[in-house]
Parts: sequence; C-alpha cells; structure tokens
Amino acid sequence: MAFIQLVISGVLQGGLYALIALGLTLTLGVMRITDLSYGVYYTLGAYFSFFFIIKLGFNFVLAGILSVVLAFLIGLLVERLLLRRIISDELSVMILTFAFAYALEEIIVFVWGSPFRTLPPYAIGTLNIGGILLEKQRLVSFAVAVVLIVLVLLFLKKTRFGKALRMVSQQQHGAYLVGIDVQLIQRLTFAVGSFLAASAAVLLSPIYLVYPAMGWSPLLKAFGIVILGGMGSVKGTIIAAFALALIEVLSSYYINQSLSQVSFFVVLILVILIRPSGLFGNREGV
Amino acid sequence: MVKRNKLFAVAMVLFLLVGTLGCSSQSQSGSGDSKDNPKQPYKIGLLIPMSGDAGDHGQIMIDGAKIAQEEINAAGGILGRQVELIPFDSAANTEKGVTGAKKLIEQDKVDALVGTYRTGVALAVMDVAADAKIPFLISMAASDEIRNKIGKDNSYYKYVFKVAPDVADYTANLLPFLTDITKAKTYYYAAENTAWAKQLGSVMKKQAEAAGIKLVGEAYVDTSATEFTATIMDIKKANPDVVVCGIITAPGVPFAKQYYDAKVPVPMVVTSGVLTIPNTIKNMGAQSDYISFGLFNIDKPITDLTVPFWEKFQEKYGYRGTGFNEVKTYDSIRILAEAINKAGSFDKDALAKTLETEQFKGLAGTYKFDETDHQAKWGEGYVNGVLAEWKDGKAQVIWPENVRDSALIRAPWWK
Amino acid sequence: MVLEARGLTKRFGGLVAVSDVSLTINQGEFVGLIGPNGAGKTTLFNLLTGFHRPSAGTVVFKGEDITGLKTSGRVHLGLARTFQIVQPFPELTVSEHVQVGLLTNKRKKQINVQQEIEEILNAVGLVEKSNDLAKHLSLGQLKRLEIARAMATGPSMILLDEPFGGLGQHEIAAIQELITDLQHKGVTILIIEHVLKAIMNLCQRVIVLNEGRILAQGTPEEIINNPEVVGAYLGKTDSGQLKKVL
Repeated sequence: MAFIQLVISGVLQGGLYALIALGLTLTLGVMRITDLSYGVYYTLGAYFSFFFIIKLGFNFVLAGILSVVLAFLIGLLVERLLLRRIISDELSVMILTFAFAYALEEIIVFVWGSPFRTLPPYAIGTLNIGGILLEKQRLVSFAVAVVLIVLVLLFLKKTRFGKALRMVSQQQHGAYLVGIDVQLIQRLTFAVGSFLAASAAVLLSPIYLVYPAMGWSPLLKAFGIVILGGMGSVKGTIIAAFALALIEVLSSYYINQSLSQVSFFVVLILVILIRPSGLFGNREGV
Repeated sequence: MVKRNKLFAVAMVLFLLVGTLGCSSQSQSGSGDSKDNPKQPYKIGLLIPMSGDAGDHGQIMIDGAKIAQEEINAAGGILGRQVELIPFDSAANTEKGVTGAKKLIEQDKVDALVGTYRTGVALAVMDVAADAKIPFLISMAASDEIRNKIGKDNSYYKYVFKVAPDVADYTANLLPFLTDITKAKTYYYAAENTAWAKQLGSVMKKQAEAAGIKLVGEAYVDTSATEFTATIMDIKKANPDVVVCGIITAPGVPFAKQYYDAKVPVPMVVTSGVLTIPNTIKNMGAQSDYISFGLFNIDKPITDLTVPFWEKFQEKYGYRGTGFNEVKTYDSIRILAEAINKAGSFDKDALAKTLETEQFKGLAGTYKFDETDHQAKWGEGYVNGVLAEWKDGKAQVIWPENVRDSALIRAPWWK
Repeated sequence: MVLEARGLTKRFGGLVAVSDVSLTINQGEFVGLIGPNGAGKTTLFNLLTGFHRPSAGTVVFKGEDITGLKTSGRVHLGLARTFQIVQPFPELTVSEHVQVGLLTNKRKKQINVQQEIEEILNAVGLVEKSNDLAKHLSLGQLKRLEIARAMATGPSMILLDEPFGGLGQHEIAAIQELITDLQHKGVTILIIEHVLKAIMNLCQRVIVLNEGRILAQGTPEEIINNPEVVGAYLGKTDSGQLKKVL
C-alpha cells in the first residue's frame, strides 16, 4: 500500500519533471549548447502567471496561456540578440547564459521584489481511492503536462517543422545541405524550450512558491535528467524524468528523507560510469 | 578574437549590472566629530542587509528603527542629543559587514552599532566593535556561537550585547504549543537538511524531553524538495501528537499544502520562516488554515509599547511587520537610548555597566542581559514570544492566554 | 558564368585562411580545386556555400549577389555541396535522405516524388539500400548517399569536397562515373580532391590554392608543368616527380 502510494506520487511528479526537461533536451539536441539560463524561463513563467492572476485578476487559463506565449517571445528575442552571435563557442555560451540568468534574477528582484509569493491552487482537495491519496492540484498539473508532452511528440513526428528539427538535431550540416534554415529552426526550438519551461512553472506555481531564485533547482534537475536520458534523446529524457521522480520519492521513504536528491545523483554518476552516453544516448538526435 | 572580446564585454556589462542593482543603497554620512557635544546628534550605525539573498529584510529593519528614532527624539533625545541613523548595506555578507563597520566607525564616527542579520557577520563585526570600543547591539543574528564568544572573553566584548533571541529561544517559543495547548506526549520533527534546522532540532529535543515529551520521528528534507509524500507517510506511521515543522525556506509552502491536502490528523506548529510571513500566506487559501507558528512579536499588548508601535508601523508604511526584523531593530535602539539615559552620561563604561545590570523595556517584553554572555534572557517576566494560528489568512493569537484571540482552532480531521 | 567570387578573404583571429581569392566558374564546367593541406580549400567552400561569412569579398551565383544569403537560401537557388566527412542523418533511411532533399527542390511541384527518388538512387547505385538506415551504410555508400542528397535538391552547381577520400579503387571508379553523369546532365562541378589522379582526367580546369591564395590555374596539363605548383606541393623536387604523383 505504502509502495503504491509512493509510486503514484512519483509518477505524478515525474510528468512535470519530464515537461521541464523536455525543453532543455530539445535545445541541447538542436543547438548543441549548454544553456544555463534555462531556469530563467521557468522563473519568468511563474512570475508572469503570478502577475496575471494576482495583480490583474485573470483566470488561470488565460493567465497561463499569456505567460507561456510571453516566455516563447522572450526566448525568440534572447536567441536572436544574445545567443546567435556566439552559438558556436561553447564556453562563451555557458558564461553568457549564466550571467544572463543572474542578471535576470536581479531584474526580477528589481521589478517584483524578493519576497516569496504564492498562488492559490486551482483545484483544491484530495481524492481518496481505496486509501491512496491523490491531490487534485497535482493530478490536474500532471494531466496538462502529459497533454503538452504528447503534443510536442506529435509535433516532432508529424509537422514539417518537427521533421526539420529532428534533422537538425541528427546532423546539422546535413540539414544545411538539404536547404533547411538551420538558424531559424534553432531559434524556434529555443523559443519552444522557453515555452515548455514556462508551462511547467505555470502548472507548478500553485503547488510551490514563486521567488526570484526558483529557477536554479529545476535547471539542475533538468540537466541531471537530460544527461541520464542521453543528451538530446527525447525518449531517454522522458524515461529519465520518471526515474528521477521515483528514485526521489522511494529513496526518501525507504532510505532517508535527506537523501532524496543525493540518491538521484548517485544513480546518475553510476549510469555515466557504466554508460557514458546516458541511458538512450548514442547521438541519435531527437 | 574580436568576437570573443565582444562577448566578454557583454558578460562584464551584465555582471556589473548585477552588481549595481545589488548594492544600490549607500548611506549619506554626516561630517565632523560628534563626540559628547550636546549639539551634535547621537549617531547609530545600522548594519543591515539591503541586497543579496536577505535583501528584503533590510527595509523592514529601517522602518522599525525610524519609529524608535522618532519616539526618542520626540521625548527629548538621548540626554538631549537627537538620534541620527546611518544605515549601511552589509548584504548579509561577512566581508561587506566588516567594511561597513569600519566605515561607520572611522568615517561616519558613529557612537554605536546596531544590526547584523547573519551570525557570521555578527561574529566578525564584534571584533571590529570591540577593538574600537564602540557599543554594538546585535539585533537579529541568533546562533549561540555569539554568546559563547562573548562569554569566553566578556571584558574584551564589554560593549557587545545580544538583543537577538538565542537558538534555544526559537524552540522555547514553540514549547507551550506542546505543553500547554495540545498537552502532547510525543512529537515529530519535520525540517530542512540545514545546519540551522538541525541545531533547532537538537535544542528542541532537549527542551521537550525536559518537559516529558518524546521525539517519535524526524525528517530532514532537501531544501529543493517539492514532493513530500514520503515525509507525510512517515509522519502518519509515527503517529505523533504534534508535528514541529522546521522547514523555513521555499519547500515550506509545498509541504504545508500537501500536509493540508493529505488531512494529516496531527496539529502542526512551525518555527519562524516562510510559513509565518503574511505575504506567503495571502494567496494560499484554505491550505494555510490550522498551521500554528511561533512569533517573536505581534500587535497585542505585550508591553505598553507594543500596540502603539504596530499601529504606527501600519499607518506609516501601510504593511504589516514580520514581528522580528522591525521589532528587534526598534528594541535595540530603545535599549541603547534607555541605557544611556539611565546611566546619565555618554561614558561607554557607564553604558556597559548599565546594560549589564539594569532592565529595559521593549516591544517583546523586558530585556535583562546575562551578566556573563550578554544574551537577553527569555521566558516569563523577560522577553517572550507568542503563538498564533492561521485561519482564513489571518493570524489568530492562541498563546499566551492573556492576549490571545482564541483557543487553538481545531481542524475537523484532527484526532 | 555560374559562380563568381571577388576578393574573398577569411580571417580567423590572426590567421588568414583565404586571402583575396577571385575566381569564376562557367556554366557546365568541371573545375578541380587542389592544394596542399591547410591551403584553405575547405574554407573557400565554406565561404562559397555560406557556412562562413567572408571577412571581405563577394560571392555571386547566377548573377545574384549571395554574400549575405544563408546556406539554406543558397541551396534553394541551386548551389549544393558535400562534405569531406560525410554528414548523413543517422536515423533516416536512404530514400528519406533523398526525400528531404527533394523538399527544397524548386521543381518539386512538377515531379513525381517516388519516381524521382528511384531515379536518383538508381544513379548513385543505392536502390537496394533504399530502406536501410544511414547509420548502417559503409563509407563508400555514405559518400554516394551524400551526393544523392545533394542531387535531390535540384542543383545547377555542386561543390564536392573530397568525394574519393578514404575509398578503394572500386568505389572511386563508381563515384567517378556518377560525377561524369552529373556533368553530362549539365550540372556545374567544383571538386576538391587529394587523389589528384582521379580528377586530372575529369577536369577541364584546375585551380591551385596555396596558403589561402590562388597560386595558379589552367588545364591539368599546364598545372602539372607549372614549377610553382610543383614547388608548393613537393618542396624542392622536380616536375617529373609531380607527374608521377599525378
């Protein structure tokens, strides 16, 4: 019974981890960059929805849509204005994105102040199914996350843009040679990544807190997931996200609660030692 | 090469931007020697964080300090000298704290120092103040390292006094919830995996055991944790009478929400931190209900200063204080003024003697400093806290009985 | 004239990889680009195809200044290339490679895609492999796949970067034949090759690059007998030895 409860909680959490990590894996695969500012879009998504819901009184759906659209547009701008010029220089990208993340954090403090903020849940209460407790808010967020993930997968499989994206991720030069506008695909992919990070924040901010430094922890987790999943493999990322959530919840109950984060990184290190390319990585691309 | 240089330029600009936004507040200093000249103001240097990760606390401290300044000046000042406040942004950073203390002492020629939010800053500034023989009232930093350091060499740290509560006071503040309010026999400690929360946990355990209350389980969750099913299941399994919560940063909110949703049949009391701040609670809706928490002060007639202070604060600034930052800064300044007035001179040794022997009135009760380690004493008759409970977004005071709004409001699902 | 470069220069920091190169390639011509290692041949290709922006100079293709145009835009105009190191999509099948190439083909409205794929795969001799994933092909097959993909984009000019590199006699012959076919179809070809023998018979003209500059150009015969070329290639040895190499 305890085990079932833990697994269910882990799965609910895993869906959201998958959503967060998906954007990072796409950017990594398509742009071949280490984007240390990925967490910023998560933070922005949360602040935008706080602003729309609390300050302007919009409903959740409208606020959520506006927030993710804004994050998408900011992603487009950042790619064009900051990343494009230095995209081929890995070290510069890391320094710049890191500096950018810090600068934006300070700007958020400047604009919204640094205190913790909270958002009301949009689904209150708990379902009790034969002794298994399911928080409605987490269920709703999970469901929306799954829908978004499925949409992204379909989009990658079915649309022209999705196909081009996969080709850029498989073989950038090859993509150039068949006339794909690689830079455009990269820009849109970066914006889609921003969109996904922001949507995770929209879904999680009614559960968590909103504060300027909130983006770092998901960034770290997303990196762990992406590495475990094999750097740029979508399938691997989704599996690794669920693995992370389950490892966290099970190890904290059966081993020690303060080890929930440690245990994931132990698993991550072991996997890398045994299989340096991650679970599903052999540079197959998205 | 050109490209690389350009990049570094951009990076530098960004870093500088971070820097400027971070340390925007510097003080304007008065000039001239003010020592003992009745025409000159009595200058108090405030070492407080106005940027960095504790940056939002600084303004609240200044707001509290200003009320003390106004009250003292309206009543004729300190032996006729008006109080002047000179804030310095220590950014809760030891290095900046030391620089700030030196600047306040050497350049601004302050007569006394008040402040420091972090223990590390306090420990470093103590030495600067002791060397310069400048009175230093530590208003917020709590660790018992401070009083231990004073206790070991209290002739050197003659002018350093700790207005801030001690670690043990944080837990002593919660203890009545277990002993008086719930008559608990057992408790569970759910906290963060940080040095501070662990320190609280071990002090709590001693105090609880002395009161005959047993610790039946504990959990130290990661500070980035967001999912607490395991913790909540462990609490249910341990079946305590009370949960003492030491999750005081970000994970506090998702923990409280999940705790509420899981309808854990056990009352919970939280030490200072994220779940005691009205701003956090504001949008949590019903999920903040039935959380009890310890506070160092609230707008109840704890002393005759308390209610007027809270009214003035609300009227002047339009927001509610935290019950800590503004209160302890205010109290420190009042204590300083009262002690000099009582001593009848600006002589520092007379001041130190008075601080060691006399009692002083503040918002949080009566301050009496320990003669050896200069720690303000806690408990009945001295400084004491209050316990409150969130209900419908409002803090209902539930202890002490003489000022309470109501008895503990019980959740329908508690055992 | 199909392609014209004027004063093309590319600096990487302090290093000048291509220096003031001007050249013209005529419609249907088959031109070889040779030169010692590090002469700037691949960099020149990158400048012509838009993978690098030139530090100075212009590129004109079919009368249009394409200096500021992205690679994808040049492909759409009919300028294709292959890489020295093959760049296949590992998870796509052989026929899918041709298919994605056809997506950019200007003529795609008028053509039967299936038929076109078959024709191209026939030409490169990969019909039997059409459903294999690229990651399962041999190097020789990949080199041919690379050309097939370039052909699918409907180019009027192809830049081939060492198509024979690392291949055996047999494979080289197959690709020689393939390239000759292309030329007969009217496609202009500029080819970089180390295996000089393999192109000397094919090329109408050879351009020699050395230290980023054009050292000489002319018919294969003229090049072989040019003492400067010989010096650049072999240091102090005589032209007789170069002839042997060629």
